[in-house]
Amino acid sequence: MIIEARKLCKKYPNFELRDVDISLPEGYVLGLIGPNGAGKTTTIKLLMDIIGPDAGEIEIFGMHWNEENEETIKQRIGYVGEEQPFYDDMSVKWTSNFVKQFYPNWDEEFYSDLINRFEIDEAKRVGDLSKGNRVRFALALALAHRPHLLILDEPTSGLDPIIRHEILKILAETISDGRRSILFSTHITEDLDKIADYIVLLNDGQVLLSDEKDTIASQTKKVYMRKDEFERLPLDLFIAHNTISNECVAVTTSFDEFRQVYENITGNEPRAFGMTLDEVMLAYAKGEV
Amino acid sequence: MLSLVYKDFYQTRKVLIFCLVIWAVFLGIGMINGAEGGASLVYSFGIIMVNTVLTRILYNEDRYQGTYFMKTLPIKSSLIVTSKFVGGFILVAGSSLMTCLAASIICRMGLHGLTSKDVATATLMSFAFTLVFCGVFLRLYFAYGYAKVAQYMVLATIGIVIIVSVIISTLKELSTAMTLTAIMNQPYWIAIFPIIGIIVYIECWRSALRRFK
Amino acid sequence: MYIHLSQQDVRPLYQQIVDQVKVLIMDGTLSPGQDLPSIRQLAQQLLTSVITVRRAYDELEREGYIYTRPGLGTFVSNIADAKLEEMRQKQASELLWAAIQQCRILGLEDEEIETITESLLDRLKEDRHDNRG
Repeated sequence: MIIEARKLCKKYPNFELRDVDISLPEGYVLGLIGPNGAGKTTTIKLLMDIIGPDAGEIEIFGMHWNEENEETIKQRIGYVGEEQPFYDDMSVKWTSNFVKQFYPNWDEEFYSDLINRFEIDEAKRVGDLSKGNRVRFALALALAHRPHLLILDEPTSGLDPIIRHEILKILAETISDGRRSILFSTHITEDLDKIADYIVLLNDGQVLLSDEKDTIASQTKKVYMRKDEFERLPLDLFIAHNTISNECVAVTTSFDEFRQVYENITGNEPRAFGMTLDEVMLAYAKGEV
Repeated sequence: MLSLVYKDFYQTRKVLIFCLVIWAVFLGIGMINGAEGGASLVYSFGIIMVNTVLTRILYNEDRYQGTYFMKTLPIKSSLIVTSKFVGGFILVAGSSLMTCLAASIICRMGLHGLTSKDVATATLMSFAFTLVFCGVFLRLYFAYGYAKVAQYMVLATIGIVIIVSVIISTLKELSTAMTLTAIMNQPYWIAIFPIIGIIVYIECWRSALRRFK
Repeated sequence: MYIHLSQQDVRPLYQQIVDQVKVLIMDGTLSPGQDLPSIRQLAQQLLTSVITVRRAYDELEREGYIYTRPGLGTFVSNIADAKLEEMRQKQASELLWAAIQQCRILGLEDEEIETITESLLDRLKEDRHDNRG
């Protein structure tokens, strides 16, 4: 396991993170999704040892965070934060020169490659970069030392679909050798949810759902039926439903079971459709469909 | 760690140059002005320089979330604290040397009745007070963040400048009083102050390390 | 190879991959012995999860469409014509079953479904006849 976090807790005056578990094996991608304020950034800061947990355990690369390990662990992590904290009045070049000295595995060629690919002007002040370029620069810095773990906190928010797609491709490329892992958090799920192997859904500081994305996708479906049919089904099969006159749409989280029961009652196959992670998140977090 | 110290100074290089200008101005005033106040200005230069530069460094870190940035990099968190204290010490030592230089020049020019003993006193006292000031400033910064500390430090600077000026003037008068003559005739009595200053500084540093996360 | 993945499809993503690979094999686009991209390569190409592709490959291998040689890669099976025929039948059967289900949801009786099917097949024969003529 690259990341093994158990029962993470962190309390703030207006917010509390409770019993969050995160597990990520080597070579896979974990998507941490949830609405704004769900606790995604707090969870990531805990995993990165930027803040300390009130309770719970964290192991990265099999090591606990402590004074001896701090540097070693961080040398193998590439991090892109939500705001990409840089000294805005320093140049791109200065910043990369500053950062690279802390990473023994820094690959200058690869870094140059990425900078050229992203068309970033190294003489520019970091504060003068567009939002898209700022994120790309942060990504270049994160990837340049060939990390074993890439942690991205809302890497694509505020970016246009073209850049989002570009980032997605780079992530897919990163994961393709099977030796690196990625954890990203996002509240925009449309693009990044494609490459995720595992999904953890957070809401209000708690984990609502944690499973392989495939399992979630195959078991969480949007189903349409008549109102009277719906009323004959056990309510615990659904996490959301909506009714208009004699029609009903619902979200089931155990599709196999639902399909069986539905066929027994009606003799027919149900009208069912796959859902995007956005829709899944909405159903779990707000009970809306 | 040195790269962190260098980073702080590089980012505030313009302020450092500005301090040089202030130093020259103080020296000028000290040379021209016949009143006692002229020499006092020189003594208070240390505090003013440290306050100006340190404020700028910490403001930078606060504004650009520098501490957060460094926490995401493979840098031992203790080094983040230590680099600030090392930088602070260099700043204090540097400003004390500049104070010494200015006071020496004024002394050489025979102004204000300054003796070389006064120069030594001024330098070491400036060093001690400035070091304590710097240590407390940093300690409070790591505890409460820049915003809360900044406003108090401006007041503290002004207060200390006044106090130091008063103390130095009073000491000059007192040095003729009998009660202190015995102590002051010990050649290195004045060394107590910098030593205390260093002890306090180290305590501030260690305390900041303990609390830092 | 080109695979289209859709979130809205009721079938899980891995099933979509399985079905489309089967079609590509059966209509000859992928020939027996041809090598397929590795699991991670295909995942990268489709910008999809590795687990999804692995599941798809596992099922394809289980059903005999592909085989893996450790260290060498994954290849299209040399499927005997009889087996291929059997698979075609099975696939067609599944498609028709789904269509029949849909018709029944619409409320059609079995006889109606039969009648419509026959008339569609007749139309197909006529079209073929016209094209030849």
